[in-house]
Amino acid sequence: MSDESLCDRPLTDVAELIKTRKVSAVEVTEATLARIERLGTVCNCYITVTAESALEHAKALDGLLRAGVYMGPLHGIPISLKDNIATANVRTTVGSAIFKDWVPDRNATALDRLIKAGAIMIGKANLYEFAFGAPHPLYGPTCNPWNPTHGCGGSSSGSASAVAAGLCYGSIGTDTGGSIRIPAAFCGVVGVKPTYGRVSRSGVVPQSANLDHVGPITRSVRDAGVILEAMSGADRLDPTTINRPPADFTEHIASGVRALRVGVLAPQPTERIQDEVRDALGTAYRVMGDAGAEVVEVTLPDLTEVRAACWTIMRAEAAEYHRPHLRGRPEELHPAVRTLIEGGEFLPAPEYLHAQRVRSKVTDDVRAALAGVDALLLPALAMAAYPIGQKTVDLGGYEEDVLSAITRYTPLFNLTGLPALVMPCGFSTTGMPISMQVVGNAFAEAMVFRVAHTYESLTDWHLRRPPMVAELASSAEPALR
Amino acid sequence: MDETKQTPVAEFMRGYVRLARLEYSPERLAELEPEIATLFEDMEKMWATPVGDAEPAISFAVEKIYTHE
Repeated sequence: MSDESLCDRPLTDVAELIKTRKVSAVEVTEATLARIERLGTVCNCYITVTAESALEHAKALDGLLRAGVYMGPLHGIPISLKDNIATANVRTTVGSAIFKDWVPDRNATALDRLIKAGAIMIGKANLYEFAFGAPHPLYGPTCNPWNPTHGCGGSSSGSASAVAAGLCYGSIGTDTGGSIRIPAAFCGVVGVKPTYGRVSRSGVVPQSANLDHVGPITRSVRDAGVILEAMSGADRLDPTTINRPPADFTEHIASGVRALRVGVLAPQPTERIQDEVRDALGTAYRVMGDAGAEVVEVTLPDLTEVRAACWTIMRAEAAEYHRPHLRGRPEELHPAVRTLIEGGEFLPAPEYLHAQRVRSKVTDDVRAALAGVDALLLPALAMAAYPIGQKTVDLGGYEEDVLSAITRYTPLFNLTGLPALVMPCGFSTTGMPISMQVVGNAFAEAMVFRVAHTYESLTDWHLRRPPMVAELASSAEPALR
Repeated sequence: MDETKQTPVAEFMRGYVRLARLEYSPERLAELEPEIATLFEDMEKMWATPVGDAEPAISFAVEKIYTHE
């Protein structure tokens, strides 16, 4: 009999329970599958649930543990993957009609590494079509567990929703302009876009190779660190991967922020943000100051100006990749996705090259701006989640298009390749999560995790559960012994 | 479509698809025209960003390419 309360525990807690054989991998997997059975349809998080293979894998892992073989920190932990990440013998739809029947013959490198660390793949998470613009009608939108009438943003919508609802212990997403961080922020969970090249993109269907990143979504900072450690490393199949020794992102995670210099984003003339988001961030900055950090203002390039360079690169690269689809099967694309891709076909080469020069200049400017700090804090989003179908949002008296509003604070760190983590730092008056972004210097994920973990340890936002989950808990069986 | 009354964006789009042998119907081009017009406006703003002598971020970094293991 599964104990559904297991589903809401941190990954690292459950991993320890499995390791010490207080609970089996099969029990954990059964509990997760039971939760998916109860809430998966409501949230529409999963395109494919691999129940049978997950249970078989769990049994095998329990057998290994009985024989004294421990695979690693993810031994027996159910993880999901965004459905643009190749999984051998399991269909990988990329959220599209065009790929609806694609069954890869090999895993993405990131998945192979997770499996090597003992993880169990529980399912393929819903996403925007081709990680772009909108969900395809074939799969439908993913709902926010905090309020099913509200969306999660994207494109890793299913991943974030599944983690928030306890339908897996972590999910692997991709981020090209914010696609891990935006849905993680809307769903009140932790989302990490690591340094560019930290995690191999081999086996990940590209959106824009220059800007694509792979990273974890979890319910705690430490959980994200453990997953990222398992996935990271050089890969011959992806020549853009960082050629550095294996990384330990969590060794000093509990070292606090005393004597650290933490930057906070200086207000920008074009900035538009909801008052309650600004207030929540201000409170979060004070928490860090009270924890002993020296908090200083940092000025960055105008975020809306650099976004144009990001979109130019993204759309040109996506148009090149999707040309066969545009030629052969354009009517099978979601209209909004088709428009985004076709727009890229009309970008002249000098525009693309200028965007890449802007990228170099901005990277130098941001590196200089962050040189004097250990990490930077800024908003993840300008607002909390809004109802599905809403086209504009009120940002402190300004009416802004939702796509523009949700991509204000994220693309800069795809352009510069810097590590960026989002985490909950409050709730709106409508009960939806508000999130903060923690950014580090290149390759400084360990510092990002340390700063983020410090904030998390001083607050309880990450312990709150969506109402639909809390209702399950109130009717659940007694907690684990 | 009366080609003498085309906007510069429409003129560019029709010329480009012809030269590049892309397959876009006149109707689809008309649907896309506002999107492309917006793209060019955004790119105009991007050109306002001074870049000095910054190298494009995709330069052919020979050492990295030939020594990456």
